Amino acid sequence: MALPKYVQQNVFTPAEIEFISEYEQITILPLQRMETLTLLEGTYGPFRPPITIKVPLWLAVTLKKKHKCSIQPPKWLNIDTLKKKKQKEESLETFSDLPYHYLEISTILLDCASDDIPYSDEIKILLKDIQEIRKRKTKSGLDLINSNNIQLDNLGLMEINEIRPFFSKAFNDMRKLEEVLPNSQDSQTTQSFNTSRNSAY
Amino acid sequence: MEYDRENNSTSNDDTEEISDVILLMKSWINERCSPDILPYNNLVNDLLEQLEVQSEIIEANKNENVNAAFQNMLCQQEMDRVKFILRNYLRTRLYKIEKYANYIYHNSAYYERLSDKEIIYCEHYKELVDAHLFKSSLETAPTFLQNLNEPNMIVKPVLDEPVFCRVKEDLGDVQIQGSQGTSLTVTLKKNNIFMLRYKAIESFLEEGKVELL
Repeated sequence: MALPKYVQQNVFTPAEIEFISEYEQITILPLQRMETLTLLEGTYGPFRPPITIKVPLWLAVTLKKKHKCSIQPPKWLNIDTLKKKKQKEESLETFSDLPYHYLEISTILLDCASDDIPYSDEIKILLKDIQEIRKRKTKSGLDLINSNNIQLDNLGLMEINEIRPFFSKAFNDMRKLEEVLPNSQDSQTTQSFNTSRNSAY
Repeated sequence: MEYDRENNSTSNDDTEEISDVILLMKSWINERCSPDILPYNNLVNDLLEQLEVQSEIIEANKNENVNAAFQNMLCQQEMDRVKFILRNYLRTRLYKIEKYANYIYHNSAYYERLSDKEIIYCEHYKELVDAHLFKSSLETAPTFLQNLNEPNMIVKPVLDEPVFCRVKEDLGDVQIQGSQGTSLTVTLKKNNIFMLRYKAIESFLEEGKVELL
């Protein structure tokens, strides 16, 4: 089997999503001098404290774990912005414009660099709240499912992945039902056309 | 794609450019999310060569000093990441090739989407499966039941499957096909996220105007 069973349904594993989000760029403050780093995806450096530099998240995390840099949290990851986002999230029906990888990035950063983020405990609680509110919204959006199109602006990858199996299944089931069931206002001719087309598959 | 790649090799130190690794990662994500087999990304071969070169550099710097050792470790870590993407990309394709082997075999249009090695794999796979089915059971069945290539026996990609996609540039009002051949208009604006039938955005995906999620 070329792919394990659990990833065959167009779903990513959480670990894979974390992997994808680790290619986002993040600003770090190097604590040690280091020469230019030539990687396949690009060249980073030279690292000269106290000049900040942008690197991919995975590199930042590795450096942080070796105590060779401190991480500058992204603009949205602070207590004021998140409080505003939470208010917006509560008052509006739509999803607020958090970054696409907000859940993954904040989890990774709070995990390994909580000392670089002021008020990290409060931020954790705020993020949890926001996540809960958004989850509630996706659940209440279930009745919007149809077999044509659903708009889900500002949803993060992790959130999409979470709803994907259920939404896809519902979408497919409705599509199949509609193919078999003719519209009530349709005439007999379309009905026979549809049945003949279905039997061809 | 071609354009991006050429740009990238000439100015490698500009981190604003989209690197090969990121491009391949996008291809991998698209491949994982789409019900159909997408055209093969030739970056695979380029990256394999780059990996080779990188491992030679690491080998050469092996006994330098502590700093070089640390840099080597980072390089090694990145190589492992790239190898993961490469492997997963190719495995995802193999999975689909195995699933649709019979269909691809009878549709020469699909051959253009596969690499040379994948075509060989697909043909061998189909021949093996056919031979196995024949030996294990079909041999004893009446001749008129021995055909494995009846149109309704061939598994083909379902292009009506839903996909999640993000629009990368404003596309305005677009007519998409809905249920029962009806068409409806959807406004596709930059950064909108939609769940649509794969068929509806297939052409945009090919042109790189949307990406799958």
